[in-house]
Amino acid sequence: MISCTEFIPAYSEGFKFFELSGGRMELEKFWGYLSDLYLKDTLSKLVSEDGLEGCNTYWSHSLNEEAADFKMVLDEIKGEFRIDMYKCPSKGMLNELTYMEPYHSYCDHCPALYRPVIEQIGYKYVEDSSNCDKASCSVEITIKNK
Amino acid sequence: MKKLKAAKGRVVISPPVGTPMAGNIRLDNKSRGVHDDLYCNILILNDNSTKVCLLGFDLIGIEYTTCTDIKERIEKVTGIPSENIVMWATHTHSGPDTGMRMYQGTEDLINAYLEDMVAKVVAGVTKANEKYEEVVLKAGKTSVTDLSFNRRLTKKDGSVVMNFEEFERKDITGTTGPIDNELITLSAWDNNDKLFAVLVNFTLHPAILVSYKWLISRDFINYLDQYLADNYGNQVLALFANGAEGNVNHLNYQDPDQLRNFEEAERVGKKLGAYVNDSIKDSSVLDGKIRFTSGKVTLPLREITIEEKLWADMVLERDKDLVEDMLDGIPDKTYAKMIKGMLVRTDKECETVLQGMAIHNFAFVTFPGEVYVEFGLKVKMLSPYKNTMVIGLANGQVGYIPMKEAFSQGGYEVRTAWTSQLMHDAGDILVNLVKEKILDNLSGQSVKVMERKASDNKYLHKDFHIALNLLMTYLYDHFGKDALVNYLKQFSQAYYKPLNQKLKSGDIKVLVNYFKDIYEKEEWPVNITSNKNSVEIIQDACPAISHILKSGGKPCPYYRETYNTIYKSLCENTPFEYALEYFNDETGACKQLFIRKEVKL
Repeated sequence: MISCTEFIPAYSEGFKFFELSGGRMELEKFWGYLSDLYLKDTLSKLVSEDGLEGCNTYWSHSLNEEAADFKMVLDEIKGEFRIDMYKCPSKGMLNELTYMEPYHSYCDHCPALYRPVIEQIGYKYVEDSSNCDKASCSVEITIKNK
Repeated sequence: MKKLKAAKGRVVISPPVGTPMAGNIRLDNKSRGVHDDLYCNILILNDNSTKVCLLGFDLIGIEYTTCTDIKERIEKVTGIPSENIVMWATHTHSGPDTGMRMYQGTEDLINAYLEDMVAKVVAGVTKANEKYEEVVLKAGKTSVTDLSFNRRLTKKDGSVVMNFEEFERKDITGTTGPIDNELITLSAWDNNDKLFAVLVNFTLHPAILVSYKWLISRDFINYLDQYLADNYGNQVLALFANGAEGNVNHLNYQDPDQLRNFEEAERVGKKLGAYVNDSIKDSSVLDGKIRFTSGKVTLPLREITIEEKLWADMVLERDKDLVEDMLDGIPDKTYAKMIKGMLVRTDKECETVLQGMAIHNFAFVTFPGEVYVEFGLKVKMLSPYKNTMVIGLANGQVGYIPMKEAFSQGGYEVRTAWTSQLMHDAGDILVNLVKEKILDNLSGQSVKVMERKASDNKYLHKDFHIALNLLMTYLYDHFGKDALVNYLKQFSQAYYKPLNQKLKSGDIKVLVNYFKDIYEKEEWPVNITSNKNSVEIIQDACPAISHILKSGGKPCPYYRETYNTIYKSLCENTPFEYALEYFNDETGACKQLFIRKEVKL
């Protein structure tokens, strides 16, 4: 059994495996598949039904379960949802597993999964991954015509 | 979340001929007929979590008890929570005297009207609630500076006169206060991009007609409605909600030729319609959940002073032979009668309801009476929402709510009567209540902040099992079983490297501790037994497969390899070997055995 607490390194190894099998395109194909399937009944449904509050519902659940260090703001008045990730539990775990070589662009999977779902519903998705190596990033989802 | 559901309806609530009319004091106040019908306009908004029912009545006011009765009856029939029903009067001065406080001996006629009206409205809401359409909401606003005027005029000597009273134009230096020039619209558009309904909020007394020719009329709102039907089609439901109109009317004291008839009502209504058009064109889509709040509050009532009582006695004696007849305002004799009536009142406070709704950057808040425009502007300033409607005359009729300083200036709205019965600071009290109970509550719903440290939570995100299952399924479907096994080997060799190293020492406790730890973290029951040569792990189900099934997923055909391949690989180059003695692919129930190789030999 791969425990859910061991998922992150399994995920990272999966990315490496896909890239080795067919290059970055192969990996991106997989991310596209995962985005469609994994987020269809969760993030996509929540945001379609509840708008930005759906983002809040989705990430409050997942980030609390993942024990992330973050600040999340839903501001319906401004039409914004924002996450400031102070310490990403996934990237943080990979950084701590010093005996393993993580997938070189591990953090790319987040926008690859979430951006298509969010943009398809009609919102703007902007991430800042400049501090990604330090397990820190931010994402802002906004109403396009605000 | 751009789409919500909306339902609409319209009920005619014109009174029968002969019903006493409100809005002025006439010797003969019985209506002669209907110029244009009065309506209760119904708009219900529903985002699948919250339903809000808006009811706009073409009446001078609606008593709190009538509001409560209507709300309770609607809740009983439709299930719409009574606190989510917002009712307001447009304040037409050419409707029935629903307050029954100006005239004596008309209670039976008004009660009969109210009983019939309430039944029609409840039936109308019930019918509307049966049919919802998908709509997109938009909010917009425009500035209107030529239709409304502050009606309190300042004279050169510093005194105040109402713009409907007699004065010399040359004596007037200006007005005591501002107007609210914002016209705000909340429009609902159907799937064919046709205007389904529009709520118009503007601050202006519908007192152009004041029971002109004793005919029932919605005043300028009738013509506003016509304009919108002409421009957007007859399917449009237009609801007019007045603002903080306590001291604002249509009379321009600088225009000596201004009329008080249907032509003037048409001029104002159609011009207002053109402004509504501007606001609609400038609208932007609202995207968000309906945020709503409602709360009961009490407001302090004014005590009748000895001086007021003595004055009333004097006037009733002085004017005993005078008839009460006045187009605008109230004659002394009527004031005196009202003061006498109020003397027997024992209540120190009156109960009312404040409500508010917000979606995205739009909001409305309600006031229970005819609040001065200054208070409405203050609430708009306090509101974090870009477009904030202040809806006056809502959920009751507590009378005028003037600014404190107006009481020393004098004038129509401050004179003690049923139409002005609250303590002098009621406006300030109300603004604070609207801020604390309504606006703060709404913004608390609209803006949510969550901040967490890693140590605040336990790390257990079971949905990772779903993601891993999808990864394995994709691998299996696109690359085959061997690729799946190779991936699992690759992972095992990389991730379990330290565990594999420890196992090489031959210490079986390493395995026991590892399995106890992961099952504990998974919060999963398992039976782990061990001796110096073997570890046996028996589980009734696999936590991963259980979670995948519970979430409606299907485990990858070779899910068992997350045991078989992973742990065989873990045991490579160690004194141990792994056997998956049985495995139920449907549940993941299994028996695993780690055994020392030399013992097996």
